[in-house]
Amino acid sequence: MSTRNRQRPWEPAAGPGGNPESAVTRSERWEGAQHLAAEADDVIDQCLSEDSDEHNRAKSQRGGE
Amino acid sequence: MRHGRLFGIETEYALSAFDPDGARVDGDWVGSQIVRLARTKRGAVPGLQSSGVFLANAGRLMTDIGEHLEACSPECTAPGEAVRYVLACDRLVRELADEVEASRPEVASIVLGRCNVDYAGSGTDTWACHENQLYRGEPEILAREIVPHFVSRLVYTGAGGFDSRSSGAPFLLSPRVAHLVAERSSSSTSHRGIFHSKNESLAGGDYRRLHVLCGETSCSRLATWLKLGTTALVVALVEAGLRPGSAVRLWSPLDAMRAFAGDPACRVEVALQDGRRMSAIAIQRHYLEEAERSLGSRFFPPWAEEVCKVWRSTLADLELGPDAVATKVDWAMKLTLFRRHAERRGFAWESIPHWTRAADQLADAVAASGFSPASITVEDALGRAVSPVPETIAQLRPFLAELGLDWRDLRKFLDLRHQLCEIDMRFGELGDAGIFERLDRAGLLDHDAPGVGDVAAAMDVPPARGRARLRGEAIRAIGRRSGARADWHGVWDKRRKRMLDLSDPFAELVTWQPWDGAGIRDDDRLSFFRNAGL
Repeated sequence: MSTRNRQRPWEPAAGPGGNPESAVTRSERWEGAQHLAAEADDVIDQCLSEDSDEHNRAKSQRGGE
Repeated sequence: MRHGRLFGIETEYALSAFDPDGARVDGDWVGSQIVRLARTKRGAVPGLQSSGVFLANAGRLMTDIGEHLEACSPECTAPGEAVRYVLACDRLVRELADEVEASRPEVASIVLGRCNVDYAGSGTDTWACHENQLYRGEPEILAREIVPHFVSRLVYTGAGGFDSRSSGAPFLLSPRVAHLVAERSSSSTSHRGIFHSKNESLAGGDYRRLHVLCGETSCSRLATWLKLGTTALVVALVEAGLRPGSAVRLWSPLDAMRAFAGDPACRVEVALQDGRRMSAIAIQRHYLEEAERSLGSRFFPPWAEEVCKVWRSTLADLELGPDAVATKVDWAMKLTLFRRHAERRGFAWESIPHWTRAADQLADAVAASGFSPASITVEDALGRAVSPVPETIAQLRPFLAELGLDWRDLRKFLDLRHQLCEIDMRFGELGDAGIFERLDRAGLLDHDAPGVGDVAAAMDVPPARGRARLRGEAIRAIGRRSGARADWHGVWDKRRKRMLDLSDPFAELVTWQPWDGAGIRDDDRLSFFRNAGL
């Protein structure tokens, strides 16, 4: 699990923020969310089964605890 | 060290195994094979009174009811260290499963999931992530002071998902909340409470163990780090005689938790006992300020300031809305994926609650009609021939029409629901196939946490302090001998007739004592190996 080259949440803000205590600006965060959503499409398409209902049933268990 | 904190996490992994033809392989047997390999390949030691084995890193691995594996981290003294051992346990379990796949021709694939609820079973099945925090004091006082923290911390600890009891897809920041039914409870398998009152200290003296069962398994390192760090600080405040929860007592903790879990905007306010209303973020800010007031106190650990800093920053991000934490905490990552997937399938995210209402009312009506919901298709229920629930259809038709929705899209919505649930189940899969792992490898997430360190080394090396270090070092020394046993409170060496007393959780000195073999039977070894499939 590499987390290289990323903003470390405990480090000081890199620039002016919409909220002075937030590490980065609202627009930067929004762009991060949009980037995640767009880039995740391929991952989701590769992972999803042809029949999700069947997949979920196949993985169903008696549950933990 | 005497004023330090000790905590750890128990993670339940959903386990599914399949043979080369795709047929299901018994999960209990597969789990026992994984535990067996921990013993033979990793030098783990059978438990003396506990089931499963104790690992060289001082944690524990076991199979539990419901075909699932459970790994317990060793006792840790800092949140970064605890995250390191949680990740080490994840990696160890996956590697052992890979070895079972490679060595057992009857097992083609083993899927291990860090999911919290099961969407295809009874709707009530869950997998837990229990936290443990060592403390001294009165449980009644701790419960009173910490419950508002448990209720409100889900804004950063929530795993995200859906209410698994629904026929639709009601998003929850913390899907486990749907399975909590009491403010306090002594049970972990039914009638679960926000505060678990079980008192099983697993240590000597006047120590107690806070066993938290309202939490969830997170993939985000930051979420796990904050979960443990903030809770440890609240416990420390209460232990020191302060009352951090007295100003934020909730009128109805369970209702408040449900309200917070259902509000991704984190804006909803709930009633306090004093008549005020506060949001989850405001309650968290209150606890944060209580902690900040005690920074520098002798009863606070050295990492308290760092926790407060990250805590404050995360709450500030949360106030900006879900997008601001979409790469940081699990529920917001999943919300981003769910929303996107729904839109790609032609459903506005805002329409999901309406479809959920329609699907739930339809399912309830079918069940009340005397038909088994499983025996009736959506098309049957909608009455292409003769619907068994015509009144419900007629009642809901104008509701949907007013929203611009059409019954004819219900089948499409239910297919979407199955896909969303599959995304949730696959999100936390261990190994390269997991969605979280893929997104993380692609550099799309931003969930790092301080002090995590060397995860690979932590698979076999115990923490540097406390009784976990002594347990792990003793297991590494005698683990491959027959007759070795371990537990949270000691290690037993039958061959040399000695035992290492670990009832002091902060023990630092190795003091083996003579032992006459009491507490261990000759047939223990046989029964262990039989249970482990050896």
